[in-house]
Amino acid sequence: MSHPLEQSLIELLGGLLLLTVFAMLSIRRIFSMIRIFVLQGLILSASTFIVGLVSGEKHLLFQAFITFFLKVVVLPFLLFRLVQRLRLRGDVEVVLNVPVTMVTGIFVVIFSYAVASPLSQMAMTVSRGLIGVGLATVLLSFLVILTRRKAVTQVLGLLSLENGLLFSATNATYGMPMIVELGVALDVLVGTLLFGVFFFQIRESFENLDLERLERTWED
Amino acid sequence: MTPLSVAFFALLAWMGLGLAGSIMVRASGKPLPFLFSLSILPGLAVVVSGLWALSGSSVYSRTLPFGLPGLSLQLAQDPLSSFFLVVLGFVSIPVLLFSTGFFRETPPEKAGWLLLWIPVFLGTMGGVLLAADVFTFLLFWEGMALASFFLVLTDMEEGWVRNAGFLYLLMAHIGTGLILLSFILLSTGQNGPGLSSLSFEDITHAILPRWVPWSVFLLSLAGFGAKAGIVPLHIWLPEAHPAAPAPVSALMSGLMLKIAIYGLMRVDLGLLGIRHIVPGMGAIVMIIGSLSALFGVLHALMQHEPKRLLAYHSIENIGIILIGFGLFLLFWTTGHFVPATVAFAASLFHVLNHALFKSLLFLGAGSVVQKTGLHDLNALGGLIKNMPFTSIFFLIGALSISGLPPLNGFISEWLTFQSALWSTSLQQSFLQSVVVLSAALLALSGALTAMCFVKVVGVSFLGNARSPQAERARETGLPEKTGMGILSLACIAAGLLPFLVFRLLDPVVFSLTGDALPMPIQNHPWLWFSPISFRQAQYSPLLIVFFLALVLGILFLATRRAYSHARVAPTWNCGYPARRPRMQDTADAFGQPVRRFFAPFFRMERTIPVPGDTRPEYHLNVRDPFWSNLYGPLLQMVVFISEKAEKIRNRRISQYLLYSFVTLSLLLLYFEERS
Amino acid sequence: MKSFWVFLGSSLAKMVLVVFLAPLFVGWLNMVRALMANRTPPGLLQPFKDWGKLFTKEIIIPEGSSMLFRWIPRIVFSLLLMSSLLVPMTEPHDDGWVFGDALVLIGILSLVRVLMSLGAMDSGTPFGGIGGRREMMVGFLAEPATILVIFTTYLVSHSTMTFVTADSLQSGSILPTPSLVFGGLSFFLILLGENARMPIDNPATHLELTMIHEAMMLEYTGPSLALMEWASAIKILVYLLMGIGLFFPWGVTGGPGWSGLLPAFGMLAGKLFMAGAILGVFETLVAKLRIFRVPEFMTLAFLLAILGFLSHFVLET
Repeated sequence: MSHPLEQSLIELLGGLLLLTVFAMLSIRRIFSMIRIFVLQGLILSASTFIVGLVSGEKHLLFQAFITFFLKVVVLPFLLFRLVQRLRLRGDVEVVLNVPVTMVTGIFVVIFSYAVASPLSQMAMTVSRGLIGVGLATVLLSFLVILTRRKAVTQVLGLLSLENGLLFSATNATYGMPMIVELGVALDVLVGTLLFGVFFFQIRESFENLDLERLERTWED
Repeated sequence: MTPLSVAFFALLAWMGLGLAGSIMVRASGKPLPFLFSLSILPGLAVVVSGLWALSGSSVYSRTLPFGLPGLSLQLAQDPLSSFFLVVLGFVSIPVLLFSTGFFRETPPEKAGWLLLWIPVFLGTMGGVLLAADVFTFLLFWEGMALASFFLVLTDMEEGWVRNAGFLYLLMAHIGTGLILLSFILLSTGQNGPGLSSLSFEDITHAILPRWVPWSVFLLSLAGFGAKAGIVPLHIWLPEAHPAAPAPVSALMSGLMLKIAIYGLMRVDLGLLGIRHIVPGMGAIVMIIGSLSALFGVLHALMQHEPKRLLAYHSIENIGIILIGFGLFLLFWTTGHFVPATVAFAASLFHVLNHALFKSLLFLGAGSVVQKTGLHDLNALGGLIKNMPFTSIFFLIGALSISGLPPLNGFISEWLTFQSALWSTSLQQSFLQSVVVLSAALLALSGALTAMCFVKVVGVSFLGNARSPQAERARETGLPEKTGMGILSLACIAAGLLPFLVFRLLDPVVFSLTGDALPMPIQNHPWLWFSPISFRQAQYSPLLIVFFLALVLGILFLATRRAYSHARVAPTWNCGYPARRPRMQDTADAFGQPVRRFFAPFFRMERTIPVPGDTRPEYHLNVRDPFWSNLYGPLLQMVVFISEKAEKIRNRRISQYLLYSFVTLSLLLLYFEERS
Repeated sequence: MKSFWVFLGSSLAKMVLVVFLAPLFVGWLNMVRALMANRTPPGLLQPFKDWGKLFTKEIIIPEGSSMLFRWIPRIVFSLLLMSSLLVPMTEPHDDGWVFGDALVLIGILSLVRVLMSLGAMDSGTPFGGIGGRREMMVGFLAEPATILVIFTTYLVSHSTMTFVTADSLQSGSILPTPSLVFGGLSFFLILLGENARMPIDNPATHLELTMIHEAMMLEYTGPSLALMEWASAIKILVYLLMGIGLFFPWGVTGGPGWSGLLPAFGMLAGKLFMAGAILGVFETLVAKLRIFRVPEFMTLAFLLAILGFLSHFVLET
């Protein structure tokens, strides 16, 4: 490998990305989850930036900046505000108990590593080993969505899923400018989904849960 | 005079002593337990024969002048059988010694029964190890199953004992059926002997069709696994072991399960041949092994009856042996011979270890049950004060089985880890993951075993007595203590001098694989034990013990004054005034964190009292999920099919003839199609 | 290979060093904790004073306990002191006198845990039983996690010998691989759990609903209590030395001669100083977990270790 330092940095960031998803799986507080999401955006943009530097693909640098702006600044800000306005505090409800979820997570990682190993042998990029990590991130984010009940946490899972997609795309085929477009498009999708899920969930809670509290939220 | 003839006459002597003993008891009308000590001599002879054969590497064989017409019994002794013979003979000695004291008070008819069947059981086990053709093997195998079945039925006046015995017999016969099938498949290959000659020698050279190795492998794994107690065929073990008297359980768990492992190794490595093994088979063995290990220890943690608990631990240890064996198959077939041989050695080492500490623990548990009359850990406590020897021996066994240095259990687990570390050199990510996860599960079950034995030792031997029977318990007699003492010493010796055991294992590994163990040459093999290379790993139990003794000695001298002036006072207990023995942790309480954490592995029924209940009661019943999820439906299915079959059974003779006619025609049609 | 007597002498010197370094480290850790909580910190030598005082008091043995209870403090102390010989500290390592590898060390630490739990159960009190049970609960997840951490470091050095691992990591790149990051994090969690530190157990309270380690100590008095506490201090030092040796070995093993010993010792002192500061700050910042959450915490350590090993296959081949 011609760039040993960058190579190992990217690998390190890949490992950290996986770690953040596991942290999302195990953590029970909404605020901590958002903070982890910020960290994830940071890792993602850093790794995109380094891959861009190493490969010399200009658009990847561009994409790194977009990611940073969107995932580290805008979305967390929106989410923090939403959570504050909704007065969601305390614990996240989990469907499955945490150890079981995490053990499932390990099997998901093994599965995605096994699936990705032929893919990464075909890819020609610097960081092809990381496709498995990207895939694992995607699948684990699914697990986050599956095991959480609250809308905000589900959206967080979705956003982290999108991070995983972006990560695997960057590392599998950095030559294609379409990836940027795909990324932006997905962001838009996520944005719409975000509000869609929100309204849906809030309406559901409206009928089931604490009515007064939600009334007040609406009036704000 | 060859090792084989020594071993053979020892087996004959066992059978003869069994007959003679039972006749003498019947004639005299007394229990005569000292007669067990006569059987020790053949045990010694078997050990000598095994060691003798292992000092060289030749194979001894012999054809007996009797048997079926045209099929005389054939015996052979190679390093694999020699190693197992050493284990068999060595463990039989302390168990027999223990029996001379343990059955002192037994009524004569039962003593006669035990005096007949225990030596016969030992003899048939030896016969399985020496058998060199299918017929002899199955003859002794069935003899062993029947002898152990009769031994389980010693207390047959109790209903649950009979049920346990019949369950055991059923599982044993299902196993034998599968083994028979695998033998039949093996002998049908091209150039094979067909069914005319059944000697192992001829089977080895047969050329098998492509589908046969997998079928033989699976059949033998299930068949021998049913005897060894792999999950999910383990259900008879926790029933049969508590039903039998303690020395019998010690023999069944310590030795008979190993004979099943021997059978598995013999069929897969000897008869099927290592050339027919593929990596997938190793992976399957590893997966089953790790599941058995985890499942066994989890259920052991839920038990509060000592012998049942130990039975579940047998399942766990068979799992550990299979993890080593699976690692061997996997590494060998992928061309990594160094970790393969080490894994095989680890597996065989654990065979020896388990034979030693499990029989020790069963004997200890038997003494406790006999002296207190209690089958419940929750009623014991503080036994170390009245039964110091039994307690110390049991503690040694417990530390051994928990895989703690410097005892022997640690070494086989350590070797397994050393071999599993090589997973990085495997090519397929699936196999890598299997190896790593199995190692993780092995580590987990090792730690859980330690927890379980802290529970057993802590609840039964330490603290205060929870019942008057436990308070009045007395130490066992001299023969019992000697028997347990021999086994404890063996555990310590194998832990401190592992290279001695490796000397025994080297010819076994060499004869089956053609490769020697990769131990590096060194000046002081007794001081530094290093299975692969000095750089990868070393272990010096003697240095550890030496330095430990040094520090402990200094500390003892430094604190001697303080301890000699120690004052015994009422327990402080954070100042709580009320203090009763029943407030101590029970065995069930000890398992609570595990029960909570691994809830999906159990089937629990609980009744929790509600607030305001004037007569609160707490019940907990943890069951094996395989009963309700696998065997229950299976049983229903069998009943259902039988009921359907019942309808076609009750007919006239002409209709029966019709069935035969139709069957015959269909078969003819089938063969016509094939030709 | 040096002679047996040199080996014996250096080993004894190392043990003496560990005996006195351990209370110093605990003193420093308590100072950091006090400073973080805006309290006037006790002196660095406070543990010496506390335990020195305990050594002058008499031993009280609870009624109904057996000989085991008298022996456990001494055995536990000796085992932990002995185990410090298995981790790299400052001394040159190129001699043939080896006790065992990291797995042996884990085995010895596991033996310590078993013996401590047995000692607690021998006191015959409900608290002892609870403490022993909880200690084993932490252990059954921590021990396999530790073994998997060793598996991860094996990837770097192809050895389970701590000395060899420390050596080959020193000569490698300064940037950690993902597997080592996972392994290191897992080891940090294990260290907290095994030494009854903050999110798992609060070493400063005796609240019966949550205590683990202290519940096992309740019935020890005088010199036997001092021995147990001293042993715990040695245990945390051994864990730190193991962590330093496996993940931050730079400067641990000085050159082949005795000349490199002094700078190596300076490096070690600096690292322990940093470790104490980090640990103290971390302990102040986190809240104690409910006892039911402890298995989750340890599962995280276990899974991180598995993840570390698995990510090697994909990322670093």
